[in-house]
Amino acid sequence: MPRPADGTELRAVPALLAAVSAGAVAWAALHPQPTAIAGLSVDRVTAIVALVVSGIGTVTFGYAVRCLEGHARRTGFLRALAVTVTAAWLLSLADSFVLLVSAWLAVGLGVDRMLRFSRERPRTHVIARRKFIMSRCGDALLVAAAAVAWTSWGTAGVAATVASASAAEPGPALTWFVLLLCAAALVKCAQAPFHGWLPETVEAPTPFSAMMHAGIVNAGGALLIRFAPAVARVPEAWVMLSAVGTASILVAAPAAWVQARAKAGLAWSTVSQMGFMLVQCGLCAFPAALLHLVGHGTYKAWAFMRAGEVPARVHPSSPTFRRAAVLLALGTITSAPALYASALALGVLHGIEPGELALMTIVALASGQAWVAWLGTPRRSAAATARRIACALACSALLPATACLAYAAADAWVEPSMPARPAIGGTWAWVAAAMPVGAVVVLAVMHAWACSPRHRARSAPLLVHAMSGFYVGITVGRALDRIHAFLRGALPGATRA
Amino acid sequence: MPEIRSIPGTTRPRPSLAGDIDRACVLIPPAWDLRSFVAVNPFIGHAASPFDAAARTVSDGLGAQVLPPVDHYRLRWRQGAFAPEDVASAARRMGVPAERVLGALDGSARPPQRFRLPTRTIAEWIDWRNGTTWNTTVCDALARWCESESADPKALDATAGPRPFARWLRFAKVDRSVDAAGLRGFREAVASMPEDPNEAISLVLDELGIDAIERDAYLLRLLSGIYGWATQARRVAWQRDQDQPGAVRDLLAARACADLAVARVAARPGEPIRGGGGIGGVPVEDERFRLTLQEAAEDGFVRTLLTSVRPPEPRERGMRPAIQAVFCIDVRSEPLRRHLERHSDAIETRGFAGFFGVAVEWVEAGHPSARCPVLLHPTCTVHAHAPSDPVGAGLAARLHGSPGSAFAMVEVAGAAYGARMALDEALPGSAERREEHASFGLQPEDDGSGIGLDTRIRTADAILRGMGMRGGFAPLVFLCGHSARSANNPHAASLDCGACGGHGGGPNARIACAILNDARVRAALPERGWSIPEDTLFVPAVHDTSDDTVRILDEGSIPGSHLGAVGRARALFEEAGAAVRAERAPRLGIEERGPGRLLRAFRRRTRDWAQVRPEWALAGNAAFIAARRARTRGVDLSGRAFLHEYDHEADLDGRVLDLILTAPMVVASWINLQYLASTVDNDALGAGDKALHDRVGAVGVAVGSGGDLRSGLPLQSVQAADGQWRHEPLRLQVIVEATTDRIDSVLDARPQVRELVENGWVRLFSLDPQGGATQRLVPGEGWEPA
Repeated sequence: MPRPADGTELRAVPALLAAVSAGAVAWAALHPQPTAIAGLSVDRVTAIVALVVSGIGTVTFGYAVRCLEGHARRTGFLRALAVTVTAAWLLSLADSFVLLVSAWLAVGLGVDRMLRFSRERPRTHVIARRKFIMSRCGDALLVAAAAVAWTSWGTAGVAATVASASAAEPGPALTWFVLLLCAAALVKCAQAPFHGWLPETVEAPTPFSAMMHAGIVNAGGALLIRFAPAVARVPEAWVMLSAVGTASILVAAPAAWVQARAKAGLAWSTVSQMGFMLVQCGLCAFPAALLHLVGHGTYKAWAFMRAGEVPARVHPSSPTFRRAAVLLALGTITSAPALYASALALGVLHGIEPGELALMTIVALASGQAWVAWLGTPRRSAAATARRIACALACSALLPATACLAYAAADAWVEPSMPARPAIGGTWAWVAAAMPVGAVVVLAVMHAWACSPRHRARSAPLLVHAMSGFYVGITVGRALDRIHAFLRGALPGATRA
Repeated sequence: MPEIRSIPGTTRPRPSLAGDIDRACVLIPPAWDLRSFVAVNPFIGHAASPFDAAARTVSDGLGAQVLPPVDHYRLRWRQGAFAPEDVASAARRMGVPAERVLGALDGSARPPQRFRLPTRTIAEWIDWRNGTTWNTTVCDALARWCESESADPKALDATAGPRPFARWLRFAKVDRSVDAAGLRGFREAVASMPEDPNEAISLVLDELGIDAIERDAYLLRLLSGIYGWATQARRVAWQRDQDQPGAVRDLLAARACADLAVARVAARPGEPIRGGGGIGGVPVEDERFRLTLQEAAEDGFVRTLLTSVRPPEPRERGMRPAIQAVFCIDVRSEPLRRHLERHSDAIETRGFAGFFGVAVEWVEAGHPSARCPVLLHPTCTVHAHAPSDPVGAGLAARLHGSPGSAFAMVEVAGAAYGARMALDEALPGSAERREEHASFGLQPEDDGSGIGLDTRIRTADAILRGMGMRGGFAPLVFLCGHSARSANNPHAASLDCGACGGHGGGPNARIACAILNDARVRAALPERGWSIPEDTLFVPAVHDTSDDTVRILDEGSIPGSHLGAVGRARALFEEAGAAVRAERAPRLGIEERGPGRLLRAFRRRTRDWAQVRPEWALAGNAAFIAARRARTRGVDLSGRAFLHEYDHEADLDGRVLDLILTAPMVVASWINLQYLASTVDNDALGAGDKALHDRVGAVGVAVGSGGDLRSGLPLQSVQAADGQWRHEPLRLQVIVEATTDRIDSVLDARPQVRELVENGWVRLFSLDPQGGATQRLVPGEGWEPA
């Protein structure tokens, strides 16, 4: 006897999309030139994003089937998830603005449905409402960008628009088109000051968060990567992306440190990771941004779905500020030779390029963080100390090499799909590069300072503010509530909840 | 009474206020963190009140239900769970007309109701009038402060460093989140509060005009807004002194200050601060009436249970069992024991608290954990020989959390996480428990670890006496602890052994066996009256309750002479385990058939990271039987009974019974009432929906996007996917095979145990050791035939 449709039968949908995407990736590997099929454009960028979205969608769907077993609203959730995954998949492959905008809207509606899962909880509705308003703002920006493309170049195709925008004379049309696109991406990626809704969405069940943070929220980045040649021609966009991304990192990274709740911490970290991905777009390092999108998506999906595991006990490490700062500096400097050598050998660095230099600096800083992690707390036994020093030194060589290898691989993968990127330089590029580097250095020092036991009394107030994301999200959220109240007053029955 | 500091120039609190505050605070039960999540009686603070009176207090103050609605009893009545004679007997005992109860059950009469006058905080009154949610806002802000402090184990300790309330004040003077959410002026209003919690509360009560009559209810209502964190604070104090409120008082003071601040900021001028009409009494089904139905339902259960108990048989002498296996009293041991015994007459099983009398602090990789019931303190320390400082420990978490490396990590390691995700979904696995293999030494060391010979001998003596062993030791005696496996489960420890402090039972079984096998201990035991044959070997084992396999531990130290017997025992364990799995499979919705496939299905399910119901743990528990196994051997108790071995003849002075009723029985009642509360009112006293859980460090879980910590068990621990409750809210039916005289003498010596019985938190039955008669202890009246 056939079982009544309860949503679980839809598990084939994301699985099928994932299988098709895997085929598309293989196809794109062999045929680097973009292929247009049925209104979809398959190239190395779109295929890989489609694979991430549908792959994570498949895992998330299976997870949701089991984790929501017994819930009256599981069927609705699974249907909305299937719709969302399909729409996000279409969004990543769409070749026309009509499909792109429709898919974008459908993703937003699917997300809204899943977000309202716990209907009986009053706060669910407040949170879903804020997200709903933000999503519609993003929709409006994307539609506006499409309208500019249509009126300026007379095309509704993505590839055609990229071609027109690449060839167009610099002017208001190009600038407006790219800036609107960037604004849509920033809203979609939960960037400051419109980031408040993202940490709030841990309200919904865990599989929703896994999908949201891994496959949906980064759609803004995916969008910019597809329009990379156009973005690369508008220096204002570089600065805009870099400035907003940097601001988001500054707001969200400290908030992520101080969250005690696992999923809340992961959600805040997504805001800063998306900030970094958009900074990479602002630095015109699109292959790196794609790498970040893929890596962050898989990591974050896994981390959300594993968030229940009680972590193993570790010995607390709170190095003094001086020790941490010295280790950070030493580790960063020590990794420089290996970094420089591997970057040159793998062709990741082309002379004095602001964007590339910025990314290299952050990789070096990461090695410094590894030094702090390993050597921050003095060990009693000399053998343990020696072992840790060896690990730190190895890290200084291996981390830069691995990072450069990953960047080189991303470059090589994307290269045939992405027309050669114009050389980026000039004041705007340097400004765009300086902001994130400065911010990350400041944050690294601040982190060391805040972790230091001796400075705890002085760093405590800062961490209190950081915990609420410096109140930016709360203030904007309140403004959204007011807008909603106003709209409800103005248009009775026109808005939900 | 705690000392009240007085600052010159401020009003001195009325002397009785401090007492009221403490009384409100100690109503909050303690709760343990996720690493040692043990069941706690949520009504422990109400133990001195009768069950129905406590139910009323909890309902009016915390807004939680202790007894199920009458509809629940109607359903059980229709299902035939209890009979008219049960109703008649319960109604007589409770002084309620039986016709009325029967009328309510068949729907012909309305169950009596009472009007509940709910107490509200001032913020709740304001919210109700203005349609705002300030009460939630300030509770969330306080919960956020607790979260921010939760990484520090001393944070909720009122005796270390500055008082938690003073630290909260410092935080609240800095934090602008409540102001930003729209309650402008909140921070300023809080800033003027005195630093002493009692003074602050006194000031709040004065300004809000809450007089002595309403005080208790108001204070309890305030605490309900931060209940989960208060239970954590209470545990910190409880471990030191069970009567001290500890930092619960600080949280109460913070709640009171926040309530006052809302009143100052959000109340509209000219409006009365409270009331305003409209919120009258809420009708609720009368608690005493519901308790009568509860009694009747329990009578139905216990009637069936008592008729299945076997009559005492003349003792068989001479036959030496081939294998003895001692299991934890945990209800999950019962099915396995039943199937083991069914397979062979040569095997004899016993029930004993799963820590096997070894209250040990087990130190692994430098991290200590108390492996004993939380009612006890560890008496010794044992170090596991394990690498204490692995190079990679916590590294990934630290790199993901540091600026700079957080970005590089996802780019470098992203693909690895993708692979990990696919693996976790497709081929779930689980790590071995190191504690079951790590070597350890009992020799006393300079650092105070180890167990001295004298202590070992005393412990061995106590273990054997407690297990009711007299003679007839088998060549092979298994001490079988238990542990569970589940993946991605914040409440994993709730599936482990409560007697081992919410941990796996491996270390305790291993240490107990090491002591009992120790040649010098064995040499000293005869002078204490024990004659253990030379060839008797104690072997540690662990019953994995997730898939009902038994792992035999420390196999390396089994002498060749016993290897054959151990092999036969292993086969028996496997056979019995397969039978238990077949018995459990339908309740878990596992459809596979055939022992091999069934085991794989069980393994897959319990290791699944998305599985919210890895096993049913102690759901269904309803009885505690302290008797010889002969009285229950062969009886199918459906995994609903705690079984403690008790041989009245071996306990002439009543010491063993005294121990059983004061420790294992109390622990069992804690578990029982935890399950009861989490089933009856999961919203208020349980941990809510697992799909929405957000783990707060290793302390507890919050639900959704914020708010209070949740205590108790998740909904999915007591409710099946088809909506059926897996736990039936029955109080613990304690059945003791001893004369009423002996039981009475224990109750006379232990007022706290008598209180549990007299107030109806457990029900006590005596099973005549000589004949088949059973008697029950009726609260306030004494023994009568059951």
